[in-house]
Amino acid sequence: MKNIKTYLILLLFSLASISQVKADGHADKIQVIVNAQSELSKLSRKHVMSLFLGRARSFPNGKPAKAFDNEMGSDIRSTFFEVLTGKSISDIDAYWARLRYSGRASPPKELDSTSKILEVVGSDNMALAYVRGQDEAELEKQGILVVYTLEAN
Amino acid sequence: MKNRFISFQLLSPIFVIKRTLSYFFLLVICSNVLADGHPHDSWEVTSFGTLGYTHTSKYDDLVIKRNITQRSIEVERSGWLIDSSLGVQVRKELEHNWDVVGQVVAKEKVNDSIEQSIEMAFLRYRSNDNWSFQLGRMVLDTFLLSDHRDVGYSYHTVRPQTEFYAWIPFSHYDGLKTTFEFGDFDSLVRFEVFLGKAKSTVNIGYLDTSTSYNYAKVAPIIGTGITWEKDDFTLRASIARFRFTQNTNAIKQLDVVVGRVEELWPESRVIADGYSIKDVEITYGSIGFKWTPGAWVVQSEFSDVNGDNFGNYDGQRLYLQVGRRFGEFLPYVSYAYSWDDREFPYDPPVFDDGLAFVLPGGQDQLDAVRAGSGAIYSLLKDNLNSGLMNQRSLSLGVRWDFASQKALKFQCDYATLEDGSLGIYPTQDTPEFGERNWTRDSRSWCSTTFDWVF
Repeated sequence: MKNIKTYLILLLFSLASISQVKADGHADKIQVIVNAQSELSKLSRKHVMSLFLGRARSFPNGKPAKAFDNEMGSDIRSTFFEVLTGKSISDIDAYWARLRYSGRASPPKELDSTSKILEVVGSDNMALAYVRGQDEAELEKQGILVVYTLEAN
Repeated sequence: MKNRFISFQLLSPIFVIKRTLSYFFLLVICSNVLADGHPHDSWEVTSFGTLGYTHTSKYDDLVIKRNITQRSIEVERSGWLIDSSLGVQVRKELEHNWDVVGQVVAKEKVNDSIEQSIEMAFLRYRSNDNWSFQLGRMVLDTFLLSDHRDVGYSYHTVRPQTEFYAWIPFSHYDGLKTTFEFGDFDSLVRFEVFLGKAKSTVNIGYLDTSTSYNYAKVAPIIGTGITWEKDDFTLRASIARFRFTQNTNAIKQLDVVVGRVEELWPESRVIADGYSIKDVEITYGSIGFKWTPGAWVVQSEFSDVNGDNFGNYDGQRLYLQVGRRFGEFLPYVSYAYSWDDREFPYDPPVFDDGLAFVLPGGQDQLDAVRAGSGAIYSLLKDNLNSGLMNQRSLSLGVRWDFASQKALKFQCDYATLEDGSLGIYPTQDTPEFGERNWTRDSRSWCSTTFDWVF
C-alpha cells in the first residue's frame, strides 16, 4: 500500500512536471500568426524581419500585408525583436523613430492584448502579428495559422 | 531685441499665419475628400523631443553651434538652446493608398515662426509597392541623417556631425518627390527624385544685426538619391543642386559699401560681385553608409560642395563614427573633417601718390581713400571666412537607453579650427565693420541630452 501511494505520488508529480514543461515550452515560443485565408503556410525569418521592419508591404505570395505589434515596452515585444534581429529593442525603437519621423513609414499598429491580436488576425486576411504560447489547434479554430516560430530562450 | 520681421522682407505676420493655416487646411481637405467618409484609421499623433545642455559660453572667443540657422548670441546666452527641441507629428492613412503627414518642430533658430517650424506637410500616394508620389513640404533627405536630424532618439550621437551637417541652411523644401523602390526580402533599392524650393534665415557670424541674419531662398532645388539596404548594411549616394534667387542682406550691404570706393578702386566691384549669390548654383553630392553588425555601429559619410562663386560654402567633408552596444549603453567615438582650401585671390588696393594732385581734397583725401579702402578690403577679405569650414573634431560619447523610448547621452567634442575658419562656430571678436580674427586653435565642449519619443 505504501508502495502504491509512493507510485501515485511520483506519477502525479511526473505528470505535473510534464505539463509544466509543456506550458513553459509554449511560453518560450513566440508564434507569428496570419489569417487562415491569407493563402500562406509558412514564412522564413527574412520574410518576418522584412514585414515587421517595414521593408516589405506584401507577403511572399504578393498579397498585401498589414503587420500588428504588441504594446511598446512589453516583454514579448522586446523578446520578439531581439531574438528576430539580434539587436537590442532600443536599436529597433531608434530605427522606427528614424522611419516614422522622416515620413517614410509608420511602425506596425500596437494592440494592447493577446485577445485583441487574435480578434484582429482572425478577421483580417492581410493581418500579421505575433503571440506567445498559444495552442495551435485552438488558433486554427479561430481561423488563425502559425507561419513562423521563434525560440525565445 | 531686434524686430526680426524686418529681416524677413515680405514675411508679414498676416502672411505667415495665412500660409500656415493653408497647409493644415490642405491636409484636412485632402483627408476628408480621400477618406470617403470611412477612414481606415484615426489620426496618428506622436511626438519626439530633446532636452539638451552644453556650456556654450565656455569661451570668450568662440561659440559652439548646432547649425547656422541658430542665433549665435542666444545660443551663447543659454546652453539649453543648442540641442533642445520638441516635435509633434500627425499622420492619417486614407483610402486608395493615400496618406497625409504633418510635422511641426519647435527649436532654436533665427526664424522660429510657425510657418518655418512646419517641417513636413505632405500628401502621399502609393500606386503600388514600388512607386510613391509626394506633394507638399518634405524634409530634405540628401544625407543619411538629414531627414531625421531633429529626432535625437533616432541616432546615437548628441547631434548630427557638425562638420557635415551644420552648414546646411535648409531642413525642408516645398515641392514634389517621386520614389521607386524594389527588392526582395533580402535587399532593397530605392531611387528618389525631388524638385522644389526652399528658404531659410541663417546667422553666419556672431552679431544679430540686419546684415547678420540673412534670408536665403533657393529655387529650384533638385536632387536625386539612391539607397541600397541589405541586412545590416545601408549605402546611400545622392546629389542635389540649388539656385539662389536673391542676395542676402550682408551681400546687399557689401554692395553699398563698395559703391563708395569703386570709382577709385574698380577691383572692389569685381570682388563684391564675386560674393553675389543671386542666380548662383550650388551642387552638393554625398555618399555614406551605415553598418550595424551585431552590437557594432559603424557610420560614415563623405560630401563635396561646389559653388559657382568663391564666396559660398565649398570643399569636402568626411566623418567616421564607430560605436558598440553593451546592454543599455552604447559608447562611441567619432572623427570628422571639413576642408576648404580657398584663399582670398585679391591683393590690397594700391593708390599712386600722384592721385593727391587729382583729388579735390588733395593729400588729405588720398589718405582718407587709402584708409577707407583698406578697411573695405579687410571687410571683403573677411567675408570669405563666413563660408570657410576648415576644421576637424574628435568626439567621445555614450548613449544610455535607460527606459523604453528614452535615452540619455553624454558627449565631449574636441575641435580644431584652422585660420579664418568661421563658417560654423562664430567668434565674439566680431566688429560691425572690419576683420574678425581667428588663428588656428582648438576648443572643447561637453554636452548632455535627454531624448525621447512617444
